[in-house]
Amino acid sequence: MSEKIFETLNPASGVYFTGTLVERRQTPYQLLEVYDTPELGRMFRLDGATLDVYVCNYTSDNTGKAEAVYAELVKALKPADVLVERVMRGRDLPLKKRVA
Amino acid sequence: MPEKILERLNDGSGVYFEGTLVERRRTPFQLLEVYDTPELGRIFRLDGYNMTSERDEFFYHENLVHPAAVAHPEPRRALVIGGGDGGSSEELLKHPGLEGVHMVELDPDVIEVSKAQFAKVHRGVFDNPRLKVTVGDGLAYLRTTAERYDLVCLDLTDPVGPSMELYSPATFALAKRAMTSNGALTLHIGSPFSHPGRVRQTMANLRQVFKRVTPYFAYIPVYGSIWGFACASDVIDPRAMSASEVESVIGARKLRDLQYYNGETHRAVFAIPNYVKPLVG
Repeated sequence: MSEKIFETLNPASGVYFTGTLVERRQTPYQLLEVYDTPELGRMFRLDGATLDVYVCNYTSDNTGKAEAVYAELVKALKPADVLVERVMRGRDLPLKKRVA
Repeated sequence: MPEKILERLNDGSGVYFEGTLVERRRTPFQLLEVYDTPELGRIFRLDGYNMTSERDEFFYHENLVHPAAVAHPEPRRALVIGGGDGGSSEELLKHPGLEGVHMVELDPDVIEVSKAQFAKVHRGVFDNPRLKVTVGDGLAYLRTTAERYDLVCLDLTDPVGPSMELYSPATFALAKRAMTSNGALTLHIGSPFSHPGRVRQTMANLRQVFKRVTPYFAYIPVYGSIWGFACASDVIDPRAMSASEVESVIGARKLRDLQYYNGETHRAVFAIPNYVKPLVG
């Protein structure tokens, strides 16, 4: 899937390239991405901005709250481009029964 | 509401500025838009392409005008085809020997909006008695005029669609006919990185008509790329001037309010990187 990759120069301007994601990984140090673009060929990126929202679902399912916090942050930060990955850790473990 | 204003360079790339729409109108000729942006101040757009901005207009207008105007020993009459924002006319009229600048702009809405909204670009040039403005077809004007100009600036939209004809050898020949024997024509020729074909073709077209065609390059923020220009003449070679010769012309003509141009930039813009050499011959 071709997408627009926005390279921010400052909050008010930047450049963009169309491209296709080849690889994306979170290293211990930074977010590493490789794109193929018609304009520049293969392009290497480090730390296109990421935002992680963690919640604990131990006593109750807080997914909705995490989504709400995330939506508020996106609204406040106005990123040029958004890619969301939802990682449900330990989803095979039973939730502790909610205490009434 | 702030939005991302995309300035497309080609299918695969471009530049963007955050901005808020101030005005949008469809003129008989084109779609005209004005945006306010934190980065460049007010931006003027035609048919979805950035033309100029308050904060960076001097990058383009000074480089379009001064390398040739300074290299010309005594420019007295100048013609601007297009340039309805007034920026290039304002730069030309900084040269005190210029008795008159004649602007021939196709679209009266461009002039009206520029007068009202882009005082920081035209700086009152429309009130200068040395500027004559004609609303009309620049190509038709070149075909019929009996005037002879020392400097001609093609200050036009990019050579796509209807503007294509204005970058043809036939148009360049008409411009030459309207020039004095040692006159010089200047124009922009596109980005060597984003439009290599356009740069190559325009240079070749100019060389069919003029003996000396000198390409030069400057980064233009509102276009988002390094941008090509050319000075075309049978006589004038702006590369022949040293930085100190340029500085003495700047001093002798008392050129003021230059935010880009000086003796060293005059030399620097003619430096051609190796990847550009095959495009400009």
